[in-house]
Formats: sequence, C-alpha cells, structure tokens
Amino acid sequence: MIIQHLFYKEWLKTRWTWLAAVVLGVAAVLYLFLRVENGMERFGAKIYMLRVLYDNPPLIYYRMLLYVPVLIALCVGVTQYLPEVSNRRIRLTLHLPASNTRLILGMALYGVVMITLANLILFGLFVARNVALFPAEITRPVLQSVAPWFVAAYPAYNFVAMVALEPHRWRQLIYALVGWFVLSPLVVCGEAVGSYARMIVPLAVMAVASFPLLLFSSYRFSKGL
Amino acid sequence: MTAKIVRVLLVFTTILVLGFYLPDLYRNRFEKRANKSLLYYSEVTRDFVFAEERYDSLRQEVRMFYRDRAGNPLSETEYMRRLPFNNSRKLKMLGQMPDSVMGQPLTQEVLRSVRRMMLIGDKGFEYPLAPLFESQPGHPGVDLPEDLFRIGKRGIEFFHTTDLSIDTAKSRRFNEALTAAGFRAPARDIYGIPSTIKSRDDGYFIVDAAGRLFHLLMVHGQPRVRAIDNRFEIRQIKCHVPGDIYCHIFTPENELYVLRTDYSLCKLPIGPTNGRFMLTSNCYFRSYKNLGSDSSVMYVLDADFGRVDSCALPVASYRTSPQADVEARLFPFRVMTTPGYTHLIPVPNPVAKFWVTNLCCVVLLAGLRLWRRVRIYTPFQLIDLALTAVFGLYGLIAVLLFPNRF
Repeated sequence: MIIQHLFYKEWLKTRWTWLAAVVLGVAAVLYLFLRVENGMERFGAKIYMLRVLYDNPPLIYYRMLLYVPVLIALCVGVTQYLPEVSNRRIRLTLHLPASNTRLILGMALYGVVMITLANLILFGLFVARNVALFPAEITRPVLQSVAPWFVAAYPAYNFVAMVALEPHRWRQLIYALVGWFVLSPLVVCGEAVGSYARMIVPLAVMAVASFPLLLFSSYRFSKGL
Repeated sequence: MTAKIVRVLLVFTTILVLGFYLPDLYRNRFEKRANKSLLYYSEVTRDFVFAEERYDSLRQEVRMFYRDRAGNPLSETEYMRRLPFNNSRKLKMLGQMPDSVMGQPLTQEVLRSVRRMMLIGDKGFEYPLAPLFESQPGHPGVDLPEDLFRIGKRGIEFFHTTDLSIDTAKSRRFNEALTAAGFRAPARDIYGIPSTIKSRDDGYFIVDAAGRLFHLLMVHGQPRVRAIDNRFEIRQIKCHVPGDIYCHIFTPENELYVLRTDYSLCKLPIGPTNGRFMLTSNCYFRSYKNLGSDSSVMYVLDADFGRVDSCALPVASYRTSPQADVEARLFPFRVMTTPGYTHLIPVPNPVAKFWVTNLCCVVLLAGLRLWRRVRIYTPFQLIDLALTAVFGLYGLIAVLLFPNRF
C-alpha cells in the first residue's frame, strides 16, 4: 500500500515534466519522419533508400533520436530527486514505516516504469512510421541501431538518481563522471545502418547492474556521511 | 551490507570504465608514429624495390631512403624510373619517362590500366536490397531502375519504392529464371556494385541458401542467370568495375579466388594470409600485398594469375615498441570497440607482465589501510585487495575513488 502512495507522490512531482518530455519526444519523431518524407519527395524514394544503405558516410535519417530517450530519463530523474534532496525533504520519505531500501527502490522503480512508458510510446511511433515508409530490409537494421539508445535511458536514469542522492559534492562529481564515461562510448551514431546492435547487451547489463547503485548514495545520505 | 555490495558493483563498473579509457589515454600520449616501410614490384627490373623512412641525423629530419632487393641504395630518380606507373607525372616532368616496358610502348591507355583497391575478407554490412540495372542499356553507363529487389523465402521480389508494392510479373519472370538455373531461395548474400557511377553493369553475384554462387543480370529487361561451379564455401566477395575479372572471392580460411569474365574460377597461388590485401594491378602484373600487423608480404602474379615472385617486409608497429612493453606491464586488460560494429571487446593482456604492477598496487593499498589504522582482514577490505590484485592500477584507482567507509 505504501508503495502505491509513494508512486502517487512521485507522479505528482514528475507528471508535467514527463508529459512535456514525451510530447517533445513524439514531436521529434514526427519531425524526423517529416524530413524523411520531404527527402523522398525531393530526391525520390529509391535514391533516398539507396543513400541510407550505400552512401559513405550513410544518410542517418534517425540521428535526431540519438539523445531523446536519455534526455527523457534525465528529466524524470532530475524532477524526481532534485526537489527531494534540495531541502533534504527525502528524510521525510525515509522516516515512513517501511525499510529505506524498499522506499528508495520503490522510487527508482517508479522512474523505470515512467521511462519504459515513454520508450514504448516513442519506439512504437518510430516503428509504425518507419514500416510505413521503408521496406523491412531497412527497418530491421535501423531498429537494431536505434534500440541501444532506448536501453541507454535506464543506466542514465540510475546514475542521475545516484548522483542526486549523494550528499557530498565532490563525490557527486565523481559519480557523474563515471556515469558519463560509462555511457558516452555506448550512445553513438554515425556508422552504417545496422551498426551498434551489439551495444544492446552491454547496455542492458549496465541497466540492470546500475539499478541498485542509488542504494549506495541513499545509505550514505541516511547515515549523514 | 547492501550498500557495501553495491559499492563493490560500483568499483567493478569503474574498473571497466578505466579499462576503456586509461590504455587509450596512454597510447594517445606515448604512441609514436612508426617509420614507413614501403614495398613495390618494379615492372622495369622485374624485382622488388623498397622505400624506407629513416631519421637523418645529419639533416635532423625524417627522409626517405630507397634500395633494391640486394640492398643497393637507389637515388630518388632511379627509384621513380623503376616504378613508372606510380610516378608517371613526375617522370614526365623530369623528361625521364621510359618509352616502353617489357617491349610494350607506355601509351596513355597502358598507364591508365592501373587499378588499386583494398580487398578485405571480413564480413561487412551486406544489405539484401539493391537496384538491378539494365546491363545493355544501349549507351555508356547505367540508369537507375524504378524498383529495388530482394531475395527472401518467396524468391526474388521487385518492389516500387514509392508505395512498397511488388511488381509481381517481373518478380515471377526472374524467379522462373533463377529456379531454372537451380537457385534455392532465400539468398544468403548478394554482392555487386549498387552504384550508377560505373561504365557498365555486371549484375550481382548471389549466394543461395545451399551456398552455391549465381550471377544475375538483366539484359533488355529479361533475366540472365548463370550458375557458377563453386566447390568451396564463400565468406566474402569483392566485385570490381568492368574489366577482365568479375570479382575476388574469399573463403572462410582466407583463400582467395578470382572469377574471370568467362566464369572460370582461379585459386590464387598465395600463402596463408589474414584476408587483408592491397591490390595493385596493371597490364603486366598484379601485386597482392597482404597487410599484417608486423609484416607485409607481397605476392606478384602475372596477367594469368601465375606466381611470379613474393617478398616479405617487416613493418614497424606499436606492438613491438618499448611503449607497448610498458603498457603491457601497466594494464592487465583493455576494453576496446571495433570500428563500424562498435561492440565492446575486453582484450586481456596475454603477456602477464602486469603482475609486478599489480603487486605494487596491493602493497600500496595495504600500506594505506594500515597507515589509517583500518583493519584489513574484514571481508570487504579483502575484496578490495583482491580486486586490486587482479585488476592492478584500475582496481587501486577504483577502490580509492570509492572508500570502504560506512
């Protein structure tokens, strides 16, 4: 029951930012395909498709999507944890009649659910528009290239939560640097269509492994270290 | 307890991050440009000539030195005279261009017969979607067709790109021709040059589901399919612009075959290779330079692919430099990404020279802990020491970044 209340509290904090981020993400996807349709109109669909597959460097029409899922994750993470730690209000949450680990993991779970919802909406829209304009031979490798960007949202969110809950400034900096250096070689774009498909596995492992990281910061926070 | 376990996770993540960035940082700082060593085959003397970059202590600059196979030094002009195809412009300016080579006048046409290309046996990104050009359009060059084709389980399908609708009549016609030639769908791989920047179209080379090779062309709108009797597994095909050969074919063992325009296959008489070649050909010889990390081996073949000569040249590489030796002593492994595919590969250091560094790191960490009067026999302190013993510098930095204090 307390987790439901916790979810409601988190929803109240993040709803407008989440909605705005999702709307902007949807707008980015729609704009991206507006440009594709315009490109197909101007150059012809066959030339556009051949440029996607065989140009060197290739035409990466989905490049605009690169940081969108990560930015949504950052928005959710910042609006969720910044108000809590700015006036140390999270101490109230940590005094609720449940274990601290359960409460912190509940908050993180809420963030993960919201990011998953946003990812599903954006990825679904991207797939639907892509299938309508391109044959499966292009759609399949494009989705393989795009999928890691959506998976990267999860470790990004986990590192934001970890940084936000850390009480010491210099440690926040170190965590942020570790997060940046972990993610930056994985969220990349620029190579041929179908590249980066194998990024999904290390990113997924990182997403799962980074989920409990915020417990470390929250422990230090609750102990006043 | 949970926080301590999570800290170990964090330390481990940091070790992986350091394994990605620290060796890279080290190489960027200490790797020196290797002196160039070049190897060519002279059509004039029918022997190899070498060009080497060396530091000239008298002039205090890096200079090129040239020599023949016997080690006799050559002047730059003599070196260029031996390689008229590579240096035709300079030789013409100097008025030293030979009139003929091997009894054949060096006309503009002969000079233009030079081809240079990379041949790489590794699989790249091959897309099962391409335009099938008209091979005899009645004019030089090719025209881009209105449709693209793919070869899936249902056989070949031509589809219009505007609405993705299938041209069933054309697809049926081509399917019948492919089936009559013994083709089994789906295609495993399709190789060709899907570009309009070529003087003529030579169609596509298609490996079917059974591994057999077929040549598909469109002549006056009609299919022309030819089964090729390949009795070997095909890993990669590199097609060429119109000439006397259609393509080079790599087997999984990096053996190299050539498919001539009369559909005869010829296995090249070259030794075991790593599948990476620089091919230079003219109307006299074809030289296949196998590019290794420590040496280049050049195989020279005549116009009929008979072996003429071969020569190996050691190449200065980072792996044999003192800086690489220091790197091997510092880092137990490195995480690298492959270009293009960009997947992460942890590369363990096989030399195992790093144990001295690792031991020093363990002693340093234990000393620091004792100096701060921390008991080092607790389980999590021992884990820190174990991580430092295994991961050396990475472990030490990560453990110090995230102190085991709760």
